[in-house]
Amino acid sequence: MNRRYRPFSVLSGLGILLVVMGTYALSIGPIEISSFDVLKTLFGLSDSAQTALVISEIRLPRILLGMLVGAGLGVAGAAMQGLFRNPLADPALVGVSSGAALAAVTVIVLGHSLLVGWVGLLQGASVPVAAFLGGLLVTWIIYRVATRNDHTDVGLMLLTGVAVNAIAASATGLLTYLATDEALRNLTFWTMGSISGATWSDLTMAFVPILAAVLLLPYFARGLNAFSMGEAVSAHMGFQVKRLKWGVIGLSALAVGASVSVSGIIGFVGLVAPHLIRLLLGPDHRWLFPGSALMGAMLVVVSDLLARTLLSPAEIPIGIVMSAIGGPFFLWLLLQRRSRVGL
Amino acid sequence: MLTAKKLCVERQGHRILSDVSVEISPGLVVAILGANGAGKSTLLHCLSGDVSEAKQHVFLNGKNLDSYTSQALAMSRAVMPQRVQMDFAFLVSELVEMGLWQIPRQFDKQLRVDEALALFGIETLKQRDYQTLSGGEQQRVQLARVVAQLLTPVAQADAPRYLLLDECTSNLDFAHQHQVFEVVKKLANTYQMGVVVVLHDMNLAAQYADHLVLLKQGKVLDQGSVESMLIPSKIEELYDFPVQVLPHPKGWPMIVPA
Repeated sequence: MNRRYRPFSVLSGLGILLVVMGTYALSIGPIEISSFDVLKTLFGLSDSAQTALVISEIRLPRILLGMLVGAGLGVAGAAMQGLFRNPLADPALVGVSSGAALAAVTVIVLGHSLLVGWVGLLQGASVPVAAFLGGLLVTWIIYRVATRNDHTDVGLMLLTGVAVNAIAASATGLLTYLATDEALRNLTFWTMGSISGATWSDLTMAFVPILAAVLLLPYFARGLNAFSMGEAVSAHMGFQVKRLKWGVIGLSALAVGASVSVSGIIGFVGLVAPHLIRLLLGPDHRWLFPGSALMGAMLVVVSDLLARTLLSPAEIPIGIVMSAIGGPFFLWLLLQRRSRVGL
Repeated sequence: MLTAKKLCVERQGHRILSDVSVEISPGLVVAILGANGAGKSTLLHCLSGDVSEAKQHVFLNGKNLDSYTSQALAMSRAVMPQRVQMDFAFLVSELVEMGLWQIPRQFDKQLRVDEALALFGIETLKQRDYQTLSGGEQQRVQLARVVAQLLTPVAQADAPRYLLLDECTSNLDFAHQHQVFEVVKKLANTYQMGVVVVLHDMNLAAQYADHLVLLKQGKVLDQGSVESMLIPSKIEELYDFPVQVLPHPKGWPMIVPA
């Protein structure tokens, strides 16, 4: 496989494509707005107040949130695959997303009773911070269970994910069932993900942590390249392995926590986006991180577009669309790797 | 000089190394011999700085391993483990270059990579995906990687460097085993590197090592020159297995089962 396009061309191409795709997505919806009108509105030249309102209050936050969440899940997937030294890791598959979702749901449901102190302390940030901690805990558990003697066992990693997902799903389900809170009636929001009710406040809440992950993870890129040969080898090359591991675990949990707290669990973005980038640019994390951010953003925007148009006027949860793309993709990856030893 | 003084290592109540002292001089090849489970790899890990409780007892160029930053350590010694598992499709050139991240920009890294690949005769593999290589080819790429790490000009100007190789020829055919050791020997001489190799093949050790360390059940049974160590009584004690030692036509001892 002698792939490898120029990183700069691919990244800028993806960036342009993302803007075009976003503009097109802004024009699609129950109310017909032409792409030209979308552009006019974006530059503040719209002559229709209604169009301006639909764009700025409904569609724009939704699409920007999709991009943000996609970028976060994309880099988190790339980071976890680097950490587990295996391209099959995905935040949703190994249970990090459901851990984050469970923590978020717990705070929402018990915020008025048991966790009143937590909410009082963190106010508006109490849900995303809890999601971050939930994701962090699960990443750490999986790393501890699946990694022994400097080797991550993929089978163990995926099975731990199965167990964590089961525990989190049942607990989340229970809490949602018990909840009286309006926000929680809709269990599908957490389990299948959605960016349909996106608001500007969701955007501002998720923006800083995801931007931090996207900008800071490349700092660990060289270290993760070496880490693909194992902890010992990267230490021998002079990388500070402890700092590397905790940096990567922390930043990926940050991205997943922020994504989940505004959009629920959207699976497979973290699996598919880095994989496509590796096919285009190779496995070097210096390009993999920015590439996965752009590709993840694109994937979420496209699947959200499908989610709201396929059965329109009804809307499918975006997680269903993403799973329909990601599930077969995952199966294909497994089949491809089966020919080699182990996974 | 790379020295270990009275190393003791315990794992889950078991003594793995007790009272092990070794010295590796620049320019020499030191081979560690011993049966399976004798503690050879653990000794190599201690010398590499992987075992935190042992760091106090290992000195590199006169300084305790504890006093080195990981980056400074990486410029004075390189380590090749027994096995390296890799799950991403890095090219051979990318993989060899990974060890050079700490060297300043003005030095041509590609030149170092080419030099190291040429040493082991694998220039043609440069653009290949590492995962698709045979076991023997992968081993030579790993050798090129650790050697490239020490060919850096910064290190050259500095104190002596050390190469620690754990069974570095286990996947190689007969001819390549000897070619690799010729290169290792040359590196020791021309770059004044101290080389430590963990070996199973006593005949390779007999031909290429300058100093032998015999390790049995975590203790140094004896150490010294090839001639003084590779005699039937010592080898039989080391492996609990009868052997005969014949002279190779070119002078070094040759070990065969009795």
